[in-house]
Order: sequence, then structure tokens, then C-alpha cells
Amino acid sequence: MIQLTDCLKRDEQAVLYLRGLYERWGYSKVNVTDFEEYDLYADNRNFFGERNLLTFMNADGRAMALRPDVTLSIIKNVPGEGRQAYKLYYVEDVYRFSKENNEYRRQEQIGAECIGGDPDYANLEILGLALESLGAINERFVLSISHLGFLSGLLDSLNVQQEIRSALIRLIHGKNTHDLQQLLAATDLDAGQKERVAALCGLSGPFEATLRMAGEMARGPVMFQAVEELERLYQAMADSGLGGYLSRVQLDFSVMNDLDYYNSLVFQGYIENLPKAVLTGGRYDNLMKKLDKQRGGVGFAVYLDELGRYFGADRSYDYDQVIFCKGHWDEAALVSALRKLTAQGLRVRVEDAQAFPEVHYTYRDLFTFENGRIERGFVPSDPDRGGDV
Amino acid sequence: MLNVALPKGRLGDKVYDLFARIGYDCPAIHEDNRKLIFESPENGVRYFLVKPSDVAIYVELGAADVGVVGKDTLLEHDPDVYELLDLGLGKCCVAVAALKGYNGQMDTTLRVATKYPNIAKEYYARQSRKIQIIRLNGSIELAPCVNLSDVIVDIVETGGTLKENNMEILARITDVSARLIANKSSYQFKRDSIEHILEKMRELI
Repeated sequence: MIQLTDCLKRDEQAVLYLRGLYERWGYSKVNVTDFEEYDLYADNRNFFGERNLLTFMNADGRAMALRPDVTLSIIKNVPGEGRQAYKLYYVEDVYRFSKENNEYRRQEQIGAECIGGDPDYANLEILGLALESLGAINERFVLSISHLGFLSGLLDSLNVQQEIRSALIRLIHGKNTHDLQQLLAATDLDAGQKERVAALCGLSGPFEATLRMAGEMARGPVMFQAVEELERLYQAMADSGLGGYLSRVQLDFSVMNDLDYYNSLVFQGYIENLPKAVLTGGRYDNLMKKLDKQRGGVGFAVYLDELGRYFGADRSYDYDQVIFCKGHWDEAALVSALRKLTAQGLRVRVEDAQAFPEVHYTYRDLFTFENGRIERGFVPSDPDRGGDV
Repeated sequence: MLNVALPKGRLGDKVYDLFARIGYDCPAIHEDNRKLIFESPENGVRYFLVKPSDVAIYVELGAADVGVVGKDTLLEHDPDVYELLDLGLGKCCVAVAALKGYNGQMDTTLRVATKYPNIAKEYYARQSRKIQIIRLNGSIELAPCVNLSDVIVDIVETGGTLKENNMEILARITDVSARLIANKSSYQFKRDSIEHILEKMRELI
């Protein structure tokens, strides 16, 4: 039996591999509708960080929007209470506004969500899946983890106006220490507070060392709890067999998501030579509360468009073999040849010999079919040469 | 190999000098030719010379790992990059200017000529002022002189061009200088090189 996915592009193979991975870890595939009522998104606009929604009226005159995010649709349909955890994954399109193109774009995502259950266990399981997902794409990856409790604990202790708080968050997110210093200088925070905020801005690097520094600058129960959760998480990763990945896990407090929705663990995955994060995720208990659900949730999404570009240049040719048919189309013999070759797992294309000068695709091997015989290379004349099919 | 996007022109020359002084010299860049890529394998660096306003695009999309760009471009385009250091070069400001004696009547839609529509829109939105953006690419100072606009929002360095065109600054919107930016993914994989550059540059400036 040949490997069924060998002939697919590598990004397509990656999707199948990830689906298999999530199934093996006990996650079930879920399909969600392409659009939801506008209100669902309008009320939670910051969750998916979109400026605009692609909206339309449905047949009843209700305002609808094309789905900019899958997690909201999944959460909406999961019972608000109960002991059983919901472990779901999806492969879906989302429609988002693209700043670069100044218009909406369809993007394909694959993602996993664990709703309910023991939060520490769910965090580790989802992080494990995220690490396995990145590792399956390329072993040269980095997963940057942060804990929003650490950030919000620090910001809450400052008691600054919302406008300054937002500016601080933006600058920490951009690792912009110089403008942050300038902003801090204009506030009446005490020297210790200013020092801690500035220190947080640059706090990133190997997990263990960075966590030690975070522990030293923590003040108050919220920050200490964040440090403790991160310590537990790190230890659990090391003890769970995920230790091989730990050199690729960084702690980086500039990683963040909207604090109104995410509350603790957040993370982003990068693949070398891909300019943007290919995976983002985190624990969104605050969003669950907003949607009147009495339990927490954690999950991530992988951006498949990014992978398509990444693997796009991966194939050196479009087909393994092209058979150019000259003269009479002996369809039975041609299909018979095609079946023999494809049974070996090859990608084969049959083409009219007259098209030979103008084909735009690339191939590894070239054959000519004429009078029931097939011969390597393109044969312009002399039909007597060649071997049997 | 670290890929660096440098802005073409005077600022780019100054920025290259900074890089050269911290060990990222690339002698080929001094050759008098029209090349846009210069490489120094021994120093592990490759420079691209790009239009100043394009630097952030090269960095955001990962063609360059780091680059140097004016704060004005960052504010205008808001690229998803790390802004790591203020180099203190190319200092100027983004300001609102008008012809001398402009009375600033509030009962009409203000016509604003600019190559920074987003900065202008945000500035006037904070004042709840109704404006019409007139998007220009250069010689912005001409617009009020020929009654194309009421005011301009533009970079002001010495104020010489404004003076020569009988204009004056009405308000400073923000100070501007050159910033070292990094691609977010490159930062994860070339963290040591990028942090080394930061550390050395902080000592220099």
C-alpha cells in the first residue's frame, strides 16, 4: 500500500498530519457555520482584534457577519457548565480585514480548543499539542510563552488612567523601551514602579533564566501567582516528555492578547524563515465569563496560509513524469501506463505531444507515447524506436 | 547572516556608519555603483538599500531581519515589528502648518494636505475636528499657497522650507527620530545577534 498523502503538497500533508495528531490526542473535529449573528462579533470585537466585520442581511432581515474567528462559534455552542471537558479541533476559513491589502481576505486555520476540565492539565495538554504541531512543521521553531497575570498584576498596581495603561501595554508589546521610558518619566509613579515596568519591557529569553528574573521583580499576589503557575508549567513540560522541546520554548512578556478576554497563559509559535507567527493561542477564561459560561477554556490556531507560502517553494517540479502522446490516442494503453506509474506513487500527467513546446509546468522525467510504445525523452520522429508500455 | 534594510540617502549613510563602528562593516557599500544589495560574509551581514518609507515593509515581511526607519513612518503605517531602539538620528517633528495669518475658522471642513493621512486623521479625531484629507506625495508646502488645502501635516526639520513659503507651525504633533526595528520572527531566531547590536549601539549613541 503506497503512502496516500505522498503526492500532496507539503502544506496539505501538514494539515492531514495535524488532524491525525489532534484525533490521536482525543480531540474531535467540529464544523461551524460560515457566518454568525453580527452581535456575537460586535460585542466581542477586541477578541479577534479586527477593525471591521464583513456584514450582510440574511433572509429574515437580521444582521449577520462572515466568521472572523472560530473560537467564538465553538464556545457559543458548548454547554456553560458540566464536568466533561470539550476537546475539539477545526479546519476552517475565517474572513479578516487585511491592512496590507486594505480589503477582506479569506484565511484558513486549523486549531484545537479544550473547554472545561482541570485548567493546569488542559494548559499542558494544549501546549503539548502546540509544540507537537510546530515540531511537525519544522523542528526549527520557537514557542514564546507569557502569562498575562504578571502584566495585569503590575499594571493594576500602578493605578494609572486607562489611556496610559493602554499606551504602556502597546509599548511593552512592541519591546519599545525608549518611548516607554519617556512615557514613564511624564507620570508620577515612584522610582520602583517605573523601574519594574521598564524591566518588564525587556523581559524575554530562555524560559528558566527569564522566569527567575520575573520572580525577582514580582510584587503582590497576582504577579506571584503568575510566576508560580509558570514554574509549575515549566516543570510539568520537563516531566511530561516534552523536555526535548524546552530549548525552543522562550518566556517573553511582550507576547500578549487582549486582557479583557485572555487572563493567564498566552503563546505564539514561530518557524524559522517565516516572517510572522504561525501559531497563536492562550487561556481565555475571561471570554468564557463574558459569554456566560461557568468554566474556562484554552486553545490555539495555526495559520495555514503562512504554511502554504512556506512550503510553496518546496517542490522542485510539478510532476514526476509527463507522457506526451503522439499520433493516435490509444486511450486504453495510455490509462494502463498511467495506472502502472501512479501505483508507484508517482505524479504523472498525460499530454498531447503538440502541446510540448508550450507547456508551462515542470517535470522530472519526460516520455513519448506513440503506436502503443513508450520511450524516455521527447521523440520528434522515428516511431519505430522505443520499448513496450 | 543578518539582513539589514537601510534607508537610502543621508540618514542611511549615518546609520551604516553606526553599524560599521560596531563591527558590521561592509566595504563593498562604498563602491560607486547602482547596486542595492551589499554583503560582507566575513562580518555576517547583508545590507539592502531601500526607499526610507519602505524599510518597515521589508522588515515586517521578513526580507530584512532589522532595519532603520523614521518614527513618522512607524506611526503612519503601524507595522507589526519590534521597535527596539531610538538611534537619536534624523531628529525632526511632524507638525501642522499653515500660511502666516491663517485664522483657522472652525465652521468649515478643514482641508489637510499630507503624506501622513493616518497621523493627520488621528490627530484631528482627538479634537473631534471634521477634515478632508488631501493625499500628496511631495512638495506638501505648495498646497496652501495655491489654495489646495487650508493646512498641511508634514515633517519639519529646520523650518526653512516653511519660512520660504510664508508658512508657520500651528502645532507640533509628535517628535520624530530614526528607530531600529526588528522582524518579530527573526528576533526569535537571531536574538543573540540582534541583542548584541542593541547593546553596542546603546553604548555609541
